[in-house]
Amino acid sequence: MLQDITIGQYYPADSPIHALDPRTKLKAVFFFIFCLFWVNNIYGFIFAGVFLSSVVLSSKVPVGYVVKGLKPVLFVVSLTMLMSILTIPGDEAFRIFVFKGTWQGLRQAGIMAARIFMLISSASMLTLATSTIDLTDGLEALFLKIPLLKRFAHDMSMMMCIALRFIPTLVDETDRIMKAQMSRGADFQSGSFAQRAKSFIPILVPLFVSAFQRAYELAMAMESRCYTGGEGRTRMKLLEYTKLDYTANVVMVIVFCSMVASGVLVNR
Amino acid sequence: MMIQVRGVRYKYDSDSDSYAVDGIDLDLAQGEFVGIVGHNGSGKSTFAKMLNGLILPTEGSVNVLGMDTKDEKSLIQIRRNIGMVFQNPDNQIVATIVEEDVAFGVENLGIEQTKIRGIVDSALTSVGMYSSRLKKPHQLSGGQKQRVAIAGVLAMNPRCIILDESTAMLDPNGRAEVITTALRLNKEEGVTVVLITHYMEELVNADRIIAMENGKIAFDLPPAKAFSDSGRLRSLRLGVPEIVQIASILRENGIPIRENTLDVEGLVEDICQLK
Ligand SMILES: Nc1ncnc2c1ncn2[C@@H]1O[C@H](COP(=O)(O)OP(=O)(O)O)[C@@H](O)[C@H]1O
Ligand SMILES: [Mg+2]
Repeated sequence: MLQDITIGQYYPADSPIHALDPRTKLKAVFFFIFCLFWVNNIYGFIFAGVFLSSVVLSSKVPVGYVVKGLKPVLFVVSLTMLMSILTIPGDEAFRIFVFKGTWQGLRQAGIMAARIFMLISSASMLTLATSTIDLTDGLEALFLKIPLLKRFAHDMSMMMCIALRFIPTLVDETDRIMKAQMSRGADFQSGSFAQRAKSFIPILVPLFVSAFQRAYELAMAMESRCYTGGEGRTRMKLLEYTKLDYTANVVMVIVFCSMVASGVLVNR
Repeated sequence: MMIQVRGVRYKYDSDSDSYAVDGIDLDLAQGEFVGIVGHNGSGKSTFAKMLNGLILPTEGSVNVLGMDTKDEKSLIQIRRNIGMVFQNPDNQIVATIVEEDVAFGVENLGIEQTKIRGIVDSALTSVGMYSSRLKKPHQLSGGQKQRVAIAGVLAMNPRCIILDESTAMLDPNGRAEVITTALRLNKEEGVTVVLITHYMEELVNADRIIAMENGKIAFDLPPAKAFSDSGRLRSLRLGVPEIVQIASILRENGIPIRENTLDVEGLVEDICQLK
């Protein structure tokens, strides 16, 4: 059950998407999501969809991995879709008992679902095709360019890096604590929701205690290795743009402009 | 002297009057291999942390290569020279990739980017982890993680490495890996090694064994002498290595085994002399 956690799940493969500079990929996802909110008609979504699918296909990441990332939002999206179909006023499309579904509602629901699914797919694509260390390096490099965030760039990337480093460790630990509690008769599966929630307290308490202990020891270890924050620090690996990144930039400008243009130009 | 400790005392809680380290004087020379033993809570870790300025003494002074640990400006120099490897391998690896972790300390020192790669590669080679340089920490065994931690310290080119119970959480294989690595660094590269441990047999090759008790030094002797008085060891709640026990039983039974026979090879040699 704990193996399902997919934060920062990297799928190593030898593909042009993997080879891109993390900064290029971060910018791409940022602008793609931004453009998604401009798009409000079928043409724009076709552009976006074709672009996204070709990225997924050329990344050699199995499509299933990307689709799996959509599962957690499925329920919320369906619920919001249903709500907008039924509540947005307009011309009647169908009727079940007293509930009236409208064409306008259907359209709105479709747009919203497409947006959210593409948004999440693009974000999972980023984490599937970028190793965590590249991701944090890329974020740090980009943050350093933004005046307001500059001061936090190093601390933020260091925190992310440590968080990612400790996720597998803490997952293992949770697993161990759960087994220890189960062997003493703890039951996490049955009972009402409140009961089940309560049965997690004996897991969370030891987990927190050990996390603090780890944090204390890690801080000690970092200090003894001369860590004093980002100032004066050098890096072993420097990020460098290649021809591939310039090509990607050109492709992206074309796709994103088309997406925005379709939203502005096409008559609704 | 590389490290000079003078009249050092330390208490965690300024209100209480119990000292975790309670009056220690000690000199450590370059190239020494020193073992520190003592039961839990005897103050070994507290003392070790004072050697690189992670903890500053409440009383007394610690002087490293002519620098006082109380002088904040020298702390970086002190810490790069006195590397420290801790007990839990999981709680001292910072980065998500082995080679990145080894680079961590070097990067902190602000060493030129073009030189880091070479430094990291040679540190990894030195502990025999070069082929695992691209692995993730959780894919390594405990012994391998500790060797990565040693490489991280080595990359800073220290004069001394302190291993604070770094073998305590490892299986026998992992322990052997770490001890062999530490010994090799000591013998071949002249790095001073301070090995804090509960396993007496890891210290048969040490130059001195320092036993701690209630924050004080109970004895500071070469291994052969330290192991000879099993009554005192027992009163400090310390064990005696198996080979030393066997040797003393043989001696009691009139078989002439030399006093400084501490390992299997020595014992075999002595027995083969008999006939
Ligand atoms: N962070 C701490 N806060 C308060 N007391 C501590 C702390 N760490 C250790 N001590 C106390 O200091 C004494 C020495 O501990 P320590 O140096 O860890 O011994 P050892 O490493 O030999 O087991 C013990 O009595 C312990 O309870
Ligand atoms: Mg200790």
